[in-house]
Amino acid sequence: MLTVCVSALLAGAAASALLGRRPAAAAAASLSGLALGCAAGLAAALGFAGPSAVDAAWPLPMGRLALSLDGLSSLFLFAVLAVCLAAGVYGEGYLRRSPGLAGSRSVRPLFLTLTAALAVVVCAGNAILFLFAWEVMALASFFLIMAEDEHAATRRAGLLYMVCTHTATLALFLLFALLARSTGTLDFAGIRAALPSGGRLPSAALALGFIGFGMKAGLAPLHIWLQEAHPAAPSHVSAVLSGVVIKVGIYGFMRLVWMLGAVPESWAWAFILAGAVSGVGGVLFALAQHDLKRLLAYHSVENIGIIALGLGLGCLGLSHRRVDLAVVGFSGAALHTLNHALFKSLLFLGSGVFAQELGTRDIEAGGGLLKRMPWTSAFSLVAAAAISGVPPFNGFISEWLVYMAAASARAPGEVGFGAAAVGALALIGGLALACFTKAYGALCLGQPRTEAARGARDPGPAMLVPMGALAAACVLIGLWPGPAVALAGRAAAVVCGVSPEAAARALAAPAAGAALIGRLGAGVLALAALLALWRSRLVVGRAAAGPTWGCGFPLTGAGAQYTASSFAQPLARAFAPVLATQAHAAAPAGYWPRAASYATHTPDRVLDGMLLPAGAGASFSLTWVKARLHSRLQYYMLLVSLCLLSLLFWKL
Amino acid sequence: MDQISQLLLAFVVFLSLYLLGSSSLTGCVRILALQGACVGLLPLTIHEGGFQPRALLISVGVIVLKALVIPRILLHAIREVKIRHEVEPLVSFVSSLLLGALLIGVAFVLAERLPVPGGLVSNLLVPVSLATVMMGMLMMVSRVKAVTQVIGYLVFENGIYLFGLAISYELPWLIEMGVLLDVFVAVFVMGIVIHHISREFDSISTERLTSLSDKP
Repeated sequence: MLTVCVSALLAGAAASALLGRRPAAAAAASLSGLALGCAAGLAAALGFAGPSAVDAAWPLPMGRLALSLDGLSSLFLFAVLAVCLAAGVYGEGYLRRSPGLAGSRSVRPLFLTLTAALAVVVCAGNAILFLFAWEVMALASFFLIMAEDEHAATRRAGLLYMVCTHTATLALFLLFALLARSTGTLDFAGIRAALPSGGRLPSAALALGFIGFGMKAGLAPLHIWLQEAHPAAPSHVSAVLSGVVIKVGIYGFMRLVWMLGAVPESWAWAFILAGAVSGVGGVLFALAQHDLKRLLAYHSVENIGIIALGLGLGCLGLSHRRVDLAVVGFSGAALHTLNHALFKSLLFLGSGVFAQELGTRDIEAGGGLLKRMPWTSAFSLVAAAAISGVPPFNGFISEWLVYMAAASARAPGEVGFGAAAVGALALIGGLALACFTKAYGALCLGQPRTEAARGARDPGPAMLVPMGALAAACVLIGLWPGPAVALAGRAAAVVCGVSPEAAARALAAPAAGAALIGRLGAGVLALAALLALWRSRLVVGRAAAGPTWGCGFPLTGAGAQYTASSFAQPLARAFAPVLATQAHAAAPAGYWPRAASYATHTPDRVLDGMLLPAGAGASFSLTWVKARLHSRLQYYMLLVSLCLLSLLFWKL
Repeated sequence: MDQISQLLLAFVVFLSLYLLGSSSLTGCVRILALQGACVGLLPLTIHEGGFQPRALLISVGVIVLKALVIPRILLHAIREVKIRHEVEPLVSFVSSLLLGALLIGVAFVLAERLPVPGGLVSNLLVPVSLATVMMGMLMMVSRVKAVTQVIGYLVFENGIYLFGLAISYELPWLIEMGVLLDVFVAVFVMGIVIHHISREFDSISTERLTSLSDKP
């Protein structure tokens, strides 16, 4: 079934590339390839198709074409294919509606290639195949990010992404070379079986994995490409990038932990610390953004932080040999990965529609869209509630698992971890809620602030149906979390190296709690629906719909509304030392003030605050040295002799 | 024998220092010839086994090349380009002398830490060879005229030759011939280069070479 999945996707990619001149035929080819491939892959991932493993020789040294599905791969394959299917169907409608992309011949084949590469990455059983698919994935997503390369910002984002992804790949090459040297094989199962326990190898491998997988996942402070690349890409590509491409980094971490079998306690600390920094930092920087997709990109950093908290608690359980803590921690991370894939891709799909209708990604340009685009707004509301961790949606279920893991870290020496994780999670949850209240309120509530917002309309069913399906999945997992928790539990069982039954026993209490939350949520929703129905019966014929804010303020226009910036301002001020927001203000002056303006800009702390100045400094000093060197032959000789002398001193 | 080796080695270092502090080109070439002669005499005295006929042959070859042929070629080159003095060194003569003294100290520190096979009469040989190499480098780095750079290169070569004396009990013929041939070719090439620089640029200052670089 895996072979069918990958070959259908690749065949679709080839067909749509060959039919590039005829967009309708290319769309049909790519859709059918995508549908067939995803159907086969989803059937395999959910276990409907029986065991499906591929193992064939490959002429590359130490390489084998080995694909297999265990609990961990199944969960990630499911997330990959579900999100790619929804985003691909939506993408057809999106491409037709975007003037810059309608004539593009490369987006469809690249999208299918990316999907196939993602599927291979999460199923690969051999490091060479893994790295091969990893590079195909990185290149396909690079070209997709560069789809609208006429904009300078897009080219910058593409370059940044290229640098980051190759740094990550370099670290992974080193990682697998290290593992191969101590085990003599590049098959994952072989590495796991032959890896000597103890020594410094696990720490070195985790450090390299932290760079390689953390860069892909967007864990702070390696997140620098997310906030540039996600806004630059077409929206359905952003959905896949944020929904699943960064999740492949999480998959890599989990596969690495599976291979190592044991994790030093210091790395549990490192994950929890990185998770807390990513989570709180991500949501704070999201709070300061005006660009909708940039805001969502920072929320990806935040959610990767929550996942890393779960990973850290799981690693803590492994290092302390506490199976229950490890299983609950890793299940929380795995389930949050799945959930984030669903609601974040839904948010990006929604943001694409908003941006197309408004003509800009600036949330201040919206307003009142709930009345004009009811479906898109409703789906986005579901996703926003889910990402903020509000019950009864799916985001709360996975955060609940992470909370449970943190609460069960009670043994001496673990309390600090648990307390740090709980504190970070609570802060993240509150700030995320504030941030989505800001974004959603500015976009969808109130009165339209621009002409474009006044004329905005919902798109056709081709774009609404995939969004609806993702929203339904979010609600379904929230109300009936049993199957999803079980799926995550099987993935955690693989990572911890215990049987699925043992994992299910360890997960029994949190799962029961989650089920109760789901039932309560269903009850609340049913009650609300009943009350709404009752109300509509009572007020029928007696209620009149007026304009928004039409409550007796005749002179206030849309410009007098609360803006997103003003909503976020108290929080932004409280966290000003972290954010370092730059304000460009021209205050009104004189008795009859005319023009006044106020704009804020929050540069990224790591990229714009550290890396770019450091790079500019290095470049400047090297240019200076080069200019000096060019002037005289003697300087070259001096450098050569100094180099020789220092080598002599160093070696003696 | 011991005292003679020590004396010759001390003389080699002293001549290198003199080269660093001297501005007259013809004077420099004469000093270089003297240094070549000292270096050429060393194989006769340096080994514990005493005098050997083969060492005499090497000695004669080195003296002929380093003390007679090469200086003559250089003097000829200097006459050709009509230059007498190094007038604009990058590092002044006094500073060069001070730096040279510093380098001698560095060489002794390095030689302390360098593992050297036994069998030598003098324990001064390794530090002196290192000091000569470094002072040759310093000359190449700090002088502008092509002729002084060639002289620096030859001092450098003398240092390498001394080091070769130190590391092998008896220099195998092949290595020895290789060293001599290397020097000979280098001087020829440099002589030709000097000649061409002088003809193209009306000067033998290597500073003018920068007009060949990719920067304006």
